[in-house]
Amino acid sequence: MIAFKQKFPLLKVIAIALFFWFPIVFCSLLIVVNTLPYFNFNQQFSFIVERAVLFLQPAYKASFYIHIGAGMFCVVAALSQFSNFILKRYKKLHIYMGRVYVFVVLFLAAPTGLYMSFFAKGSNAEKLLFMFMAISWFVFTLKGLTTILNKRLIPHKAYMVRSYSMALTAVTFRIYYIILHVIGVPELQNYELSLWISVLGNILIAETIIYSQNKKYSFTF
Amino acid sequence: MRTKTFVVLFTSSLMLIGFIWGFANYTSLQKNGKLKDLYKEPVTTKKEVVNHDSLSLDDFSRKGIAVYEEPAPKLISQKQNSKNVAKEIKEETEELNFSSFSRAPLRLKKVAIPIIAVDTTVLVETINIDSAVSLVDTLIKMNK
Repeated sequence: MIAFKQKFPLLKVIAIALFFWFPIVFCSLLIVVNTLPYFNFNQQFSFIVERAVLFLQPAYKASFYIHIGAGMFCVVAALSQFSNFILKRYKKLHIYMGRVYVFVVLFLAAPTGLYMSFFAKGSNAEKLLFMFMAISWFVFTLKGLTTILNKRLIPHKAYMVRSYSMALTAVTFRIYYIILHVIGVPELQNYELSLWISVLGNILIAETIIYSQNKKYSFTF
Repeated sequence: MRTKTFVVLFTSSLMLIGFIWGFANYTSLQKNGKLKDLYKEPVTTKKEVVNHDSLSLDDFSRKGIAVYEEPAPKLISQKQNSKNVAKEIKEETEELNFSSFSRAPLRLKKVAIPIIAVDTTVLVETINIDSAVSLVDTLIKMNK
Protein backbone atom coordinates (compact mmCIF):
# COMPACT_ATOMS: atom_id res chain seq x y z
CA MET A 1 0.00 0.00 0.00
CA ILE A 2 2.81 2.43 0.93
CA ALA A 3 4.63 1.54 -2.27
CA PHE A 4 1.41 2.18 -4.18
CA LYS A 5 1.02 5.59 -2.55
CA GLN A 6 4.61 6.48 -3.37
CA LYS A 7 4.20 5.32 -6.94
CA PHE A 8 0.93 7.07 -7.59
CA PRO A 9 0.71 10.21 -5.45
CA LEU A 10 -1.60 11.93 -7.93
CA LEU A 11 -3.98 8.98 -7.94
CA LYS A 12 -4.18 9.14 -4.16
CA VAL A 13 -5.01 12.84 -4.26
CA ILE A 14 -7.69 12.29 -6.90
CA ALA A 15 -9.18 9.35 -5.01
CA ILE A 16 -9.36 11.33 -1.75
CA ALA A 17 -10.87 14.30 -3.54
CA LEU A 18 -13.39 12.21 -5.41
CA PHE A 19 -14.51 9.79 -2.70
CA PHE A 20 -14.00 11.88 0.42
CA TRP A 21 -14.02 15.61 -0.14
CA PHE A 22 -16.42 15.84 -3.05
CA PRO A 23 -19.30 14.07 -1.22
CA ILE A 24 -18.57 16.04 1.95
CA VAL A 25 -18.55 19.42 0.20
CA PHE A 26 -21.60 18.54 -1.88
CA CYS A 27 -23.65 17.28 1.08
CA SER A 28 -22.53 20.17 3.31
CA LEU A 29 -23.68 22.71 0.78
CA LEU A 30 -26.87 20.72 0.29
CA ILE A 31 -27.54 20.96 4.03
CA VAL A 32 -27.01 24.72 3.89
CA VAL A 33 -29.42 25.03 0.96
CA ASN A 34 -32.00 22.87 2.72
CA THR A 35 -31.65 24.79 5.96
CA LEU A 36 -32.20 28.24 4.46
CA PRO A 37 -35.99 27.81 3.91
CA TYR A 38 -36.44 27.33 7.68
CA PHE A 39 -35.63 31.01 8.08
CA ASN A 40 -38.91 32.11 6.53
CA PHE A 41 -40.20 30.87 9.94
CA ASN A 42 -42.97 28.89 8.32
CA GLN A 43 -44.25 26.16 10.65
CA GLN A 44 -45.22 23.69 7.92
CA PHE A 45 -41.94 21.77 7.79
CA SER A 46 -42.39 18.16 8.84
CA PHE A 47 -39.53 18.54 11.32
CA ILE A 48 -41.47 21.31 13.05
CA VAL A 49 -44.90 19.70 12.71
CA GLU A 50 -43.88 16.54 14.55
CA ARG A 51 -42.35 18.69 17.29
CA ALA A 52 -45.33 21.06 17.47
CA VAL A 53 -45.50 20.75 21.25
CA LEU A 54 -41.88 21.80 21.60
CA PHE A 55 -42.14 24.72 19.22
CA LEU A 56 -44.69 26.27 21.56
CA GLN A 57 -41.80 26.67 24.00
CA PRO A 58 -39.87 29.88 23.22
CA ALA A 59 -36.63 28.39 24.56
CA TYR A 60 -36.83 25.39 22.24
CA LYS A 61 -37.84 27.51 19.26
CA ALA A 62 -34.96 29.93 19.83
CA SER A 63 -32.51 27.07 20.37
CA PHE A 64 -33.63 25.41 17.16
CA TYR A 65 -33.13 28.48 14.98
CA ILE A 66 -29.83 29.35 16.65
CA HIS A 67 -28.64 25.77 16.26
CA ILE A 68 -29.45 25.41 12.56
CA GLY A 69 -28.18 28.91 11.77
CA ALA A 70 -24.94 28.28 13.62
CA GLY A 71 -24.69 24.85 12.03
CA MET A 72 -24.74 26.41 8.56
CA PHE A 73 -21.88 28.76 9.40
CA CYS A 74 -20.00 25.98 11.05
CA VAL A 75 -20.26 23.58 8.10
CA VAL A 76 -19.20 26.27 5.62
CA ALA A 77 -16.39 27.63 7.80
CA ALA A 78 -14.96 24.16 8.36
CA LEU A 79 -14.76 23.30 4.66
CA SER A 80 -11.70 25.44 4.08
CA GLN A 81 -9.87 24.42 7.24
CA PHE A 82 -8.38 21.15 6.11
CA SER A 83 -6.85 22.43 2.88
CA ASN A 84 -3.05 22.50 2.97
CA PHE A 85 -3.16 24.93 0.06
CA ILE A 86 -5.20 27.47 2.04
CA LEU A 87 -3.14 26.86 5.15
CA LYS A 88 0.12 27.59 3.34
CA ARG A 89 -0.97 30.33 0.96
CA TYR A 90 -3.77 32.04 2.87
CA LYS A 91 -2.97 31.48 6.50
CA LYS A 92 -5.05 34.47 7.56
CA LEU A 93 -8.13 32.96 5.94
CA HIS A 94 -7.50 29.76 7.90
CA ILE A 95 -7.23 31.73 11.14
CA TYR A 96 -10.30 33.84 10.41
CA MET A 97 -12.48 30.91 9.39
CA GLY A 98 -11.17 28.96 12.37
CA ARG A 99 -12.29 31.71 14.70
CA VAL A 100 -15.73 31.74 13.11
CA TYR A 101 -15.98 27.96 13.50
CA VAL A 102 -14.83 27.97 17.12
CA PHE A 103 -17.09 30.87 18.08
CA VAL A 104 -20.11 29.33 16.41
CA VAL A 105 -19.58 25.92 18.00
CA LEU A 106 -18.67 27.01 21.52
CA PHE A 107 -21.08 29.89 21.95
CA LEU A 108 -24.06 28.84 19.85
CA ALA A 109 -24.31 25.38 18.32
CA ALA A 110 -23.06 23.15 21.16
CA PRO A 111 -25.02 24.75 24.05
CA THR A 112 -28.25 24.83 22.04
CA GLY A 113 -27.57 21.27 20.85
CA LEU A 114 -27.19 20.15 24.45
CA TYR A 115 -30.47 21.85 25.39
CA MET A 116 -32.30 20.24 22.46
CA SER A 117 -30.83 16.80 23.13
CA PHE A 118 -33.31 16.33 25.98
CA PHE A 119 -36.13 16.36 23.45
CA ALA A 120 -34.45 14.29 20.75
CA LYS A 121 -36.46 11.77 18.78
CA GLY A 122 -35.97 8.15 19.75
CA SER A 123 -35.41 6.40 23.03
CA ASN A 124 -33.34 7.56 26.00
CA ALA A 125 -30.30 6.00 24.35
CA GLU A 126 -30.66 8.43 21.42
CA LYS A 127 -31.13 11.34 23.82
CA LEU A 128 -27.90 10.33 25.57
CA LEU A 129 -26.19 10.01 22.21
CA PHE A 130 -27.21 13.55 21.28
CA MET A 131 -25.91 14.75 24.65
CA PHE A 132 -22.65 12.95 24.05
CA MET A 133 -22.41 14.56 20.61
CA ALA A 134 -22.99 18.07 21.96
CA ILE A 135 -20.56 17.66 24.84
CA SER A 136 -17.83 15.97 22.81
CA TRP A 137 -18.22 18.56 20.02
CA PHE A 138 -17.78 21.28 22.61
CA VAL A 139 -14.80 19.62 24.33
CA PHE A 140 -12.97 18.78 21.10
CA THR A 141 -13.42 22.31 19.77
CA LEU A 142 -12.34 23.88 23.04
CA LYS A 143 -9.28 21.62 23.14
CA GLY A 144 -8.56 22.53 19.51
CA LEU A 145 -8.62 26.19 20.53
CA THR A 146 -6.53 25.90 23.67
CA THR A 147 -3.89 23.72 21.98
CA ILE A 148 -3.36 26.22 19.16
CA LEU A 149 -3.19 29.07 21.68
CA ASN A 150 -0.39 27.08 23.33
CA LYS A 151 1.16 26.56 19.87
CA ARG A 152 0.78 22.77 20.03
CA LEU A 153 0.09 22.05 16.38
CA ILE A 154 -0.25 18.26 16.38
CA PRO A 155 -2.94 18.05 19.09
CA HIS A 156 -4.63 21.12 17.57
CA LYS A 157 -4.95 19.38 14.23
CA ALA A 158 -6.14 16.16 15.87
CA TYR A 159 -8.76 17.88 18.01
CA MET A 160 -10.09 19.88 15.10
CA VAL A 161 -10.44 16.66 13.09
CA ARG A 162 -12.36 15.19 16.04
CA SER A 163 -14.49 18.32 16.29
CA TYR A 164 -15.23 18.33 12.58
CA SER A 165 -16.17 14.66 12.74
CA MET A 166 -18.89 15.61 15.22
CA ALA A 167 -20.04 18.52 13.06
CA LEU A 168 -20.24 16.21 10.08
CA THR A 169 -22.67 13.83 11.79
CA ALA A 170 -25.37 16.13 10.41
CA VAL A 171 -24.16 15.27 6.92
CA THR A 172 -23.37 11.58 7.35
CA PHE A 173 -26.62 10.97 9.22
CA ARG A 174 -28.57 12.08 6.17
CA ILE A 175 -26.47 9.93 3.84
CA TYR A 176 -27.04 6.80 5.94
CA TYR A 177 -30.69 7.71 6.38
CA ILE A 178 -31.24 7.90 2.62
CA ILE A 179 -29.39 4.62 2.04
CA LEU A 180 -31.39 2.79 4.72
CA HIS A 181 -34.61 4.36 3.43
CA VAL A 182 -33.88 3.01 -0.05
CA ILE A 183 -33.18 -0.42 1.46
CA GLY A 184 -36.61 -0.23 3.11
CA VAL A 185 -35.81 0.09 6.81
CA PRO A 186 -38.86 1.46 8.72
CA GLU A 187 -38.67 5.15 9.60
CA LEU A 188 -38.00 5.10 13.33
CA GLN A 189 -35.50 2.24 13.16
CA ASN A 190 -33.84 3.99 10.23
CA TYR A 191 -33.57 7.19 12.25
CA GLU A 192 -32.01 5.46 15.24
CA LEU A 193 -29.70 3.27 13.19
CA SER A 194 -28.48 6.15 11.01
CA LEU A 195 -27.81 8.21 14.09
CA TRP A 196 -25.68 5.54 15.77
CA ILE A 197 -23.81 4.66 12.59
CA SER A 198 -23.07 8.29 11.80
CA VAL A 199 -21.79 9.16 15.28
CA LEU A 200 -19.75 6.01 15.89
CA GLY A 201 -18.65 5.84 12.25
CA ASN A 202 -17.44 9.44 12.26
CA ILE A 203 -15.49 8.92 15.49
CA LEU A 204 -13.89 5.82 14.02
CA ILE A 205 -13.00 7.56 10.76
CA ALA A 206 -11.59 10.59 12.61
CA GLU A 207 -9.41 8.46 14.86
CA THR A 208 -8.22 6.41 11.87
CA ILE A 209 -7.21 9.60 10.06
CA ILE A 210 -5.44 10.96 13.14
CA TYR A 211 -3.70 7.63 13.77
CA SER A 212 -2.54 7.31 10.17
CA GLN A 213 -1.12 10.84 10.13
CA ASN A 214 0.75 10.66 13.42
CA LYS A 215 3.58 8.31 14.27
CA LYS A 216 2.84 8.61 17.97
CA TYR A 217 -0.88 8.59 18.59
CA SER A 218 -0.47 9.67 22.21
CA PHE A 219 0.96 13.01 21.01
CA THR A 220 -2.44 13.93 19.61
CA PHE A 221 -3.95 14.39 23.07
CA MET B 1 -8.51 37.76 33.03
CA ARG B 2 -6.80 36.10 30.10
CA THR B 3 -8.86 35.59 26.97
CA LYS B 4 -8.34 31.83 27.03
CA THR B 5 -9.57 31.50 30.61
CA PHE B 6 -12.53 33.72 29.84
CA VAL B 7 -13.53 31.66 26.77
CA VAL B 8 -13.19 28.38 28.69
CA LEU B 9 -15.21 29.62 31.66
CA PHE B 10 -17.86 31.46 29.68
CA THR B 11 -18.55 28.73 27.14
CA SER B 12 -18.51 26.03 29.82
CA SER B 13 -21.10 28.06 31.69
CA LEU B 14 -23.20 28.24 28.52
CA MET B 15 -23.05 24.46 28.25
CA LEU B 16 -24.04 24.11 31.88
CA ILE B 17 -26.96 26.49 31.36
CA GLY B 18 -28.00 24.50 28.28
CA PHE B 19 -27.94 21.28 30.28
CA ILE B 20 -29.79 22.63 33.32
CA TRP B 21 -32.38 24.48 31.24
CA GLY B 22 -32.95 21.46 29.03
CA PHE B 23 -33.31 19.16 32.02
CA ALA B 24 -35.68 21.59 33.79
CA ASN B 25 -37.85 22.10 30.72
CA TYR B 26 -37.89 18.41 29.97
CA THR B 27 -39.01 17.43 33.46
CA SER B 28 -41.65 20.17 33.63
CA LEU B 29 -43.10 19.26 30.22
CA GLN B 30 -43.09 15.61 31.12
CA LYS B 31 -44.80 16.32 34.42
CA ASN B 32 -47.54 18.23 32.59
CA GLY B 33 -47.95 15.33 30.17
CA LYS B 34 -47.12 17.52 27.19
CA LEU B 35 -44.41 15.25 25.85
CA LYS B 36 -46.97 12.51 25.30
CA ASP B 37 -47.95 14.06 21.97
CA LEU B 38 -44.38 14.59 20.87
CA TYR B 39 -43.45 13.16 17.46
CA LYS B 40 -47.06 12.44 16.64
CA GLU B 41 -49.05 14.30 14.06
CA PRO B 42 -51.08 17.02 15.77
CA VAL B 43 -54.65 16.14 16.62
CA THR B 44 -57.24 18.79 15.94
CA THR B 45 -60.88 18.57 16.89
CA LYS B 46 -62.27 20.71 14.11
CA LYS B 47 -62.91 18.51 11.14
CA GLU B 48 -65.73 18.00 8.72
CA VAL B 49 -67.71 14.91 9.51
CA VAL B 50 -67.46 12.24 6.90
CA ASN B 51 -70.46 10.24 5.98
CA HIS B 52 -69.46 6.68 5.38
CA ASP B 53 -72.97 5.30 4.94
CA SER B 54 -72.39 4.99 1.21
CA LEU B 55 -69.71 2.43 1.84
CA SER B 56 -69.98 -0.83 3.61
CA LEU B 57 -67.34 -2.10 5.94
CA ASP B 58 -66.36 -4.62 3.28
CA ASP B 59 -65.44 -1.79 0.94
CA PHE B 60 -62.94 -0.57 3.45
CA SER B 61 -61.65 -4.03 4.10
CA ARG B 62 -60.96 -4.48 0.44
CA LYS B 63 -58.79 -1.36 0.61
CA GLY B 64 -56.82 -2.87 3.44
CA ILE B 65 -58.58 -0.88 6.12
CA ALA B 66 -60.78 -2.14 8.90
CA VAL B 67 -63.47 0.17 10.23
CA TYR B 68 -64.88 -0.39 13.66
CA GLU B 69 -67.87 1.15 15.33
CA GLU B 70 -67.08 2.41 18.76
CA PRO B 71 -66.06 1.22 21.23
CA ALA B 72 -62.93 0.16 19.45
CA PRO B 73 -62.20 -3.48 20.10
CA LYS B 74 -58.99 -4.65 21.60
CA LEU B 75 -56.77 -4.48 18.62
CA ILE B 76 -54.22 -7.14 18.50
CA SER B 77 -54.04 -7.90 14.85
CA GLN B 78 -53.74 -11.44 13.64
CA LYS B 79 -51.13 -10.21 11.24
CA GLN B 80 -48.72 -9.31 13.98
CA ASN B 81 -45.59 -11.34 14.10
CA SER B 82 -44.09 -9.28 16.87
CA LYS B 83 -45.57 -9.11 20.34
CA ASN B 84 -44.05 -5.69 20.92
CA VAL B 85 -45.73 -4.17 17.90
CA ALA B 86 -49.04 -5.67 18.99
CA LYS B 87 -48.58 -4.12 22.40
CA GLU B 88 -47.85 -0.74 20.86
CA ILE B 89 -51.01 -0.87 18.84
CA LYS B 90 -53.10 -1.73 21.84
CA GLU B 91 -51.65 1.16 23.81
CA GLU B 92 -52.13 3.53 20.91
CA THR B 93 -55.75 2.57 20.60
CA GLU B 94 -56.44 2.95 24.27
CA GLU B 95 -54.75 6.29 24.29
CA LEU B 96 -56.97 7.46 21.49
CA ASN B 97 -60.04 6.28 23.32
CA PHE B 98 -59.26 8.19 26.44
CA SER B 99 -57.58 11.37 25.22
CA SER B 100 -57.78 12.35 21.57
CA PHE B 101 -60.94 10.35 21.16
CA SER B 102 -62.86 12.18 23.84
CA ARG B 103 -61.89 15.55 22.40
CA ALA B 104 -63.37 14.76 19.00
CA PRO B 105 -66.89 15.75 17.94
CA LEU B 106 -69.39 13.06 18.71
CA ARG B 107 -70.31 12.13 15.18
CA LEU B 108 -66.67 11.92 14.25
CA LYS B 109 -66.01 9.17 16.72
CA LYS B 110 -68.08 6.71 14.84
CA VAL B 111 -66.25 6.99 11.60
CA ALA B 112 -62.83 8.30 12.05
CA ILE B 113 -61.22 7.05 15.17
CA PRO B 114 -61.34 3.32 15.04
CA ILE B 115 -59.82 3.00 11.64
CA ILE B 116 -56.97 0.64 11.69
CA ALA B 117 -54.74 0.06 8.74
CA VAL B 118 -53.96 -3.57 8.26
CA ASP B 119 -50.32 -2.71 7.88
CA THR B 120 -49.39 -2.20 11.49
CA THR B 121 -46.38 -0.02 10.87
CA VAL B 122 -48.67 2.42 9.11
CA LEU B 123 -51.03 2.34 12.02
CA VAL B 124 -48.48 3.30 14.61
CA GLU B 125 -47.20 6.12 12.48
CA THR B 126 -50.38 7.67 11.22
CA ILE B 127 -53.32 7.04 13.43
CA ASN B 128 -54.98 10.20 14.66
CA ILE B 129 -58.24 11.94 14.00
CA ASP B 130 -57.09 14.07 11.10
CA SER B 131 -55.34 11.41 9.11
CA ALA B 132 -58.06 8.88 9.80
CA VAL B 133 -60.79 11.22 8.57
CA SER B 134 -58.87 12.20 5.48
CA LEU B 135 -58.22 8.53 4.80
CA VAL B 136 -61.92 7.76 4.88
CA ASP B 137 -62.64 10.85 2.84
CA THR B 138 -60.23 9.76 0.13
CA LEU B 139 -61.63 6.27 0.06
CA ILE B 140 -65.18 7.52 -0.28
CA LYS B 141 -64.15 9.74 -3.18
CA MET B 142 -62.33 6.85 -4.81
CA ASN B 143 -65.41 4.66 -4.56
CA LYS B 144 -67.90 7.22 -5.84
